[in-house]
Amino acid sequence: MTRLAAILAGAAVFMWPALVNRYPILFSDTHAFLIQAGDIRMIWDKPFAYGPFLRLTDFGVTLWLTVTVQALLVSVLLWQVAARLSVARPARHLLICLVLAVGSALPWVTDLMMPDIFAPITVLALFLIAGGAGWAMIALASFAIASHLSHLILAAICIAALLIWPKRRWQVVAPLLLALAWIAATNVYFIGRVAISPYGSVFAMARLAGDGIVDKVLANHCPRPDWTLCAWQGRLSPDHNHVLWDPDGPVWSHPGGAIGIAEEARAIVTAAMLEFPAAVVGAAISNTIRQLGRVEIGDALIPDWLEGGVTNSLTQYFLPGETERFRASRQAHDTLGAWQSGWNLPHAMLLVLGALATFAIALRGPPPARKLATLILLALLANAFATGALSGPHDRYQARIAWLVLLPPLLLIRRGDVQPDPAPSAQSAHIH
Amino acid sequence: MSKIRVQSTDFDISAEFSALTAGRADIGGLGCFVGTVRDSAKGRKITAMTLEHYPAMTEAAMARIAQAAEQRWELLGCTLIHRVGRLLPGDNIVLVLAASPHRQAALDATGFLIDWLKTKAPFWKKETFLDGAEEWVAANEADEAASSRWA
Repeated sequence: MTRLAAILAGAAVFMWPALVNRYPILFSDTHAFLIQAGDIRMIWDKPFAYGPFLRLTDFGVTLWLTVTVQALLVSVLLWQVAARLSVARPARHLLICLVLAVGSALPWVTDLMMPDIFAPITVLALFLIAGGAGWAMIALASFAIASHLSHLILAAICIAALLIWPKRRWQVVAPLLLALAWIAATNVYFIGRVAISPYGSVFAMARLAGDGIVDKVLANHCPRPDWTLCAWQGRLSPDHNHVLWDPDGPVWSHPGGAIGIAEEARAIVTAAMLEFPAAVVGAAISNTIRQLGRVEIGDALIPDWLEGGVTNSLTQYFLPGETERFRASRQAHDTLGAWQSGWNLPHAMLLVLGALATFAIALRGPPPARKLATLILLALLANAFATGALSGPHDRYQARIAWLVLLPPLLLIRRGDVQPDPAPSAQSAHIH
Repeated sequence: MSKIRVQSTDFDISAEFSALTAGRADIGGLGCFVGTVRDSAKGRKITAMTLEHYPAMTEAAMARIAQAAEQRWELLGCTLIHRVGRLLPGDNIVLVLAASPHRQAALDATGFLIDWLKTKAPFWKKETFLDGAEEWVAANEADEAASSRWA
């Protein structure tokens, strides 16, 4: 089997959930990403990145093309990581892909039409850039980081760790800088001001409300005529999702919705950090730990909010027949989740074993594998913090990345003679 | 049976009318409402209105409103199109079409649809005034009263 055949076959096995579903897996936010590029407009809580990616890969024909591209990207990256550890062999690659396809949530994340898959891609691409990969990988990492605001924090923490190894520092930092520049530039274009996360404070405020800290801030400051949340003192829901999305909640019932309340939310979050730092840190640690343990993909497989939302986009932006293809899927009939749920327990058991093995490799593995294992463990923590602590724990957030702990042991199985870290190239040696 | 659309581009009233009535001989009346951006509010000159929404949830709310109309009146179809983004005075904002075998049902359903759209669909509107000041539009009592007459 050739390298190309192995990569193609690896990509094919990652597409099995979509094949079982009879269509790529959709989420309510897929609709927002489709109109982001189809209508060329900013959606308040989403960077202008994944929408254009969908448009560029689906060609207005079908999302099957996009899911194929995502599966190929994952397969190529896994090959590259194996090559970096000098263990890339076609048969081994296919075996690794098969194990990950059956034993983890990776194929489900790959087949989901959301930027989730670009979280692990961020981690692997940064590892490869630190190991010598060129501008194509830097471009991929830049896009992966820009595709979701939580990836900025994930990338920043991973990059900080990679900078400990004094090689290719500029190349490792470049993707984050490029992603920040892209997000800032698109915000200038669409909303007229330089900003990275112009309305992110709303998510943080909802998180702190769920933790009971916003009520303490309101008790210190209210009544204040410029804070609409004073009217909610003592009756904020402990569920941050209700605070954010309930039509009768404080965000939606604000005359300006999430955008209108963002400035007030920023002031409340700032006050919370200044006046209750211990409570804020404690809640962040607690939510990070809770997020670490939530690794099931199930909440992304339901059909809620798809009919009338994403079906409109499929009708508007694709060739005839795409909406009908989705409506024929298991997900549209709400049978996909039940079909998948049986995999959760074996996946969780494998993740525990994988985490232990990756921890051992991080401590005593051969140099390049040790770096990879350390980076992955750090990435898991960074991802849990970026999502659980700043937004709120959800299964989908950690499922997208937890499977990475299976990778180091799979790469090292029956391979005790991994090559030592190669010397830096002449070019990279000049750079630092 | 209902067509729900949120879009930044303008709509073609004639094309939407044709799409709703094409091939139908059972329609006896068609109600139509078009909302446009007024150039003043509260005695101040408006230079623009910016509309925001949240994809999926907004369309779902619009679908529920259409469904409620279909349960109350004998409708053969309806079209709800709401624009978002920055609009200028005179621009179209919203189109409501309701088709029924009978004129009264079509007219009542059209009134119901626009009244409920104004108060129950999550759109957020920001007015930009001549002096550059901007203000979010709060729910007003007249809209609430118009909506509550259908309770």
